Parts: sequence; C-alpha cells; structure tokens
Amino acid sequence: MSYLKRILLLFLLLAFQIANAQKLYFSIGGGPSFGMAKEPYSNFYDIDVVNTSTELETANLISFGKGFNSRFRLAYRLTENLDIAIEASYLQGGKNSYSQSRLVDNNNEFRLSERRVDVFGNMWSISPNLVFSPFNTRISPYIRIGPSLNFGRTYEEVEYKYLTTTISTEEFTGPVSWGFLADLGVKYLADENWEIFAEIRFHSFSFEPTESQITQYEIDGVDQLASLNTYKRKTVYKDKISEEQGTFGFVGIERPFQELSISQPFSSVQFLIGISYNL
Amino acid sequence: MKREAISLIVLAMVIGFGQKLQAQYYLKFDMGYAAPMGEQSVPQFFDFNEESETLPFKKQNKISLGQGSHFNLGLGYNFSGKIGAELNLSYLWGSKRDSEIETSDDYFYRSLRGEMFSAIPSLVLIMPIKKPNMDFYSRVGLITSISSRMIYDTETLIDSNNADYQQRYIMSGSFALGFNAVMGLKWKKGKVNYFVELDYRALSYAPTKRSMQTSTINGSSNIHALSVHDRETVYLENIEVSNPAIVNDEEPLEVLISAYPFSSVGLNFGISINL
Repeated sequence: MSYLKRILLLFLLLAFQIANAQKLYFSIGGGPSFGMAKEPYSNFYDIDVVNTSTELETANLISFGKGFNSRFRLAYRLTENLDIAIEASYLQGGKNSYSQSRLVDNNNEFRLSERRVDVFGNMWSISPNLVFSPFNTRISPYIRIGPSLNFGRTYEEVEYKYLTTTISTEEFTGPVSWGFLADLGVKYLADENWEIFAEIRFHSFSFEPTESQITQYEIDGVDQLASLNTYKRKTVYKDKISEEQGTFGFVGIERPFQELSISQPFSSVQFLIGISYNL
Repeated sequence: MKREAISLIVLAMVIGFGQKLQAQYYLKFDMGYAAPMGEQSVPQFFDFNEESETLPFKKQNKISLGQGSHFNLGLGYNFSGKIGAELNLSYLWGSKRDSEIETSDDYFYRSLRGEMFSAIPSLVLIMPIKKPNMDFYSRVGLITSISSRMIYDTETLIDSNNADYQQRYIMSGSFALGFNAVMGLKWKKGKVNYFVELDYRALSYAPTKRSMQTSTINGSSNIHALSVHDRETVYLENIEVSNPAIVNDEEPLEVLISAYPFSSVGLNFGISINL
C-alpha cells in the first residue's frame, strides 16, 4: 500500500472516529509563569559601587516570559484519545529589573548616579494544538503540543537620578511572532460535564519589535515629552540599515532613529490550574 | 510432586512475565535536521560593509546555535501500550553562522558553531491506530546537556601591516537545561518499526570559559607568545571593574556571563527495535 493511501486511510479513520465521538468543551484557567532559557538583553547588567575607582558588575539574564498567564480554550474531541483545540492566552508580564549605580566625578566631587530599568511584556498568544489523552479514566494524564502566534507590546521603564530625576517609558511594538508550546497535564473528571485540570507548560518564542516610542518623559516630575524631537522619541528596528547622511542611525531630527533589529526572549515555564465544561 | 508442579508453574510465570516485560523495552535511533527558533542578536555579530557598491550597510545576524543535525539514541519502555518512558541521548552537530565586517582598510570575520551532547528523559503518551498499524504519539521531556561547547573562529586582515590574524576559541563549561516536545508517527512492522517526528527544543547555553586553541599570524603560530590573559577567558556572575584597569597577564580575562540561544524545531527519521 502506498504511503499516500495509508495517510488517506488514517484521515478516514480519524474522520470516522470524529463522527462517533463528537464532543465540544471549553476550558479556562490561569497561573504563574517563570522565565526560562534566559538570555542577556541589550547591554543591561547590574552595577554597584565598591569605591571611587571600582565597580561590581553582575550579570542579569532575563526572559520576558515571566508574569501571570490566563487562558481560554475551545476544544473538540476528535476521538476518545485525541482532541484538537484553539486557545487564546494572555501574559501579564512581570518586571525584569536592572539597577546601575555609579560615582560620577563632578568637579572633583563624587556624586552618585542611579539608573533603574524595568522591562516587561504583555502578550497575547493564539495556539491551535493537539491533545494526546490515551486513558479514559477518572484521572488521566495528557500532553498538548502546538505552534503559537504571539502579538503584543513590551515596555522599558527607566528612572535615572543624577542632579535631576528623569523618568521615561518606552513602548515597543512589532509583528506577530511564532513559537511553540507543550503542556504536560493531568485532568480529573469531577462529573459528567466538569473536569478540573493542572498542567505545566513550556512555551518559547522571541518577539522582534520593529518600532519603539517614548510615551512618558518627565524631569523632576514635569512632563517634557513635547521637548523630544522625532529622532529622540522614536526608533525603528531593521535587519539592514544603510548609511545615510554620513551617520548610521541618524537620518534627521524629524525622522525616527534607525537601529539594527533586536530580539526579546519570551521562553517560559508556566503552572496552570483550570476547569473544563463539556458543551 | 505437587511442590515441584507449583515450582514449575511459578518458574513459567516468572519467565513469561519477564518475557512480557522484556518485550516492552525498545531501542531507537533517529537523525534529522533542525531549523533555528527563537533567534537572538549576539553582540558584535553583524555584517558591515563599507565597500558596498551602493551605500555602506550594517546587517543584523540573529542566530540560534541549535540549528544543525541531530542524532539521537534512545531506550524506551512501554508501560501499557498507551504510556511509556524514554531516555534519549542526543548529539547536536550545529551549523556554522558567521559575520563579516569589511571597512576600507580592514576585514574582520567571525563564526560560531555549537555542539551539544545531552540526555533527555521523557514521558510518552501513545494513541494506537489499528488500521494501518501505527502509533500516533507525543513526548515531553527535559533536556540536560552533558557536554556542550561552542567553536568561535575569528580572522582579521589588517591592510596597513599586511597581516592576517586567525584564532580559534572553544567556549565550554557549565550545562544547559531546557525542554523538548515531540509529536510523531510510528509505523509498526513487528520487531522493527519506523518513525518520523517533529522535534521542538527550547534552551539556552551559558559557557563558563573560553580557551584559545590556535592563533596564527600570516600562517605562523604565535600562541606560545601570548599570555594566559590573552588566551583564556572565564565568564562569571560578578566581576569587579577598576579604573584604571588592573591586568594580570597570568590570570584569565574575566567577563560577565552570557547565554546563547540553542532553540530549534526539526524533523527526525528513525527506527526502533523491540527487545
């Protein structure tokens, strides 16, 4: 039998089993998310002052995937042991923080400059996935696997104290990025219609912003956003930038600054509990 | 006599049970190619061309060192035909990624390639299909690298003194922890089975040391003329930076630890043999 015929036969078998075991259900759940596969971001690391001539630098690898995750899922029982699901989830990002303290020589008088940076991302994920659930018992394990399409925004909040206090927020936007997720879960059939489940999710993708814009800029509590020209307020990120007007990145004060593209890692391990209801 | 009969029955049961258990073990081997996922920009790893025919340009080179060929050898155990466990030993022969910086006077070339030997304990859930005789399965496991290294090559051509500097470094140490998810189809042919898998891996690797292996100027080795500080680098969580800098030629260079992406998604083909 040719492979094509076998695949067709497999498809027909699944279709037959769908007809015999139709079941639609929805699930909701939520839980904390922790960053994994952490990587350095930008040039950020922590700096502490040891003395006037020495600083202590500390590595700070991060993932934007940390935070709290909420999920809604609509699933269809293809067979007794295989479901297909479409899921929407939302990550309310937790902050990754950097702090950099330095002594600055100001006319032979050392003064402390302090810079604190918080980065985080709020991200929607849409995932079509398959659920393998081989046991029809009251308590049964399952594995969910599927790709994910992810879209949202990330933020960089900076507070800088030296002579004055400057506060700014930069918002990063970009196209949909794709990733992959897998759940290892266990479900408990509470009654005919209700199920309770707990799962561990591994989810990984990188967000590649194409634009950022400063949306808040205050000096000593006074809004100074209007004082920033486009060059200082906006940045566009490109895979390839050409030299224009002699200097890379700068193409005029009324045009956004150009920078080579960046990636923000979003890998995470998530713990989730939830309930399902058979429709 | 009765006692002997009972002994024989018990022996037969033990052998039968043992054979049944043995039949649930399988050995597997597979290989495939993985495309990069979750690519990241790495410092100093971009293309720059000042000699371009149009305008000089800079081009980002995002990389994941998980890209490349994967070879996996595993031992599996089927608990019931629907659930099993596997321990896979996996070897990644990573593809080389490079960057070039070309100015009017000089040329800089850098390349990075990863190799990783890892153990992956996994849980397997199986959906048997009777006709054709196949298993549709999924597997989730943790990746723990046993040995990892990155090969970093550099070449610098300086026009002013007509010199060609070439160096090779090995970055190693520490281990990586990540996760692996697999979805596969197995064609069951009796003792020997064939399978195809979609294999997804997410991890990053943070080496703790970098060691210069070779260094040449215009083809002649100069590595023995270099100090420990020039040849060796250690990556640390914390470093003290002084101004002015204090350099000890007998101590390795200290640099803040960094991590490199090794995530990938690939397609593997293989066989498994029931024991």
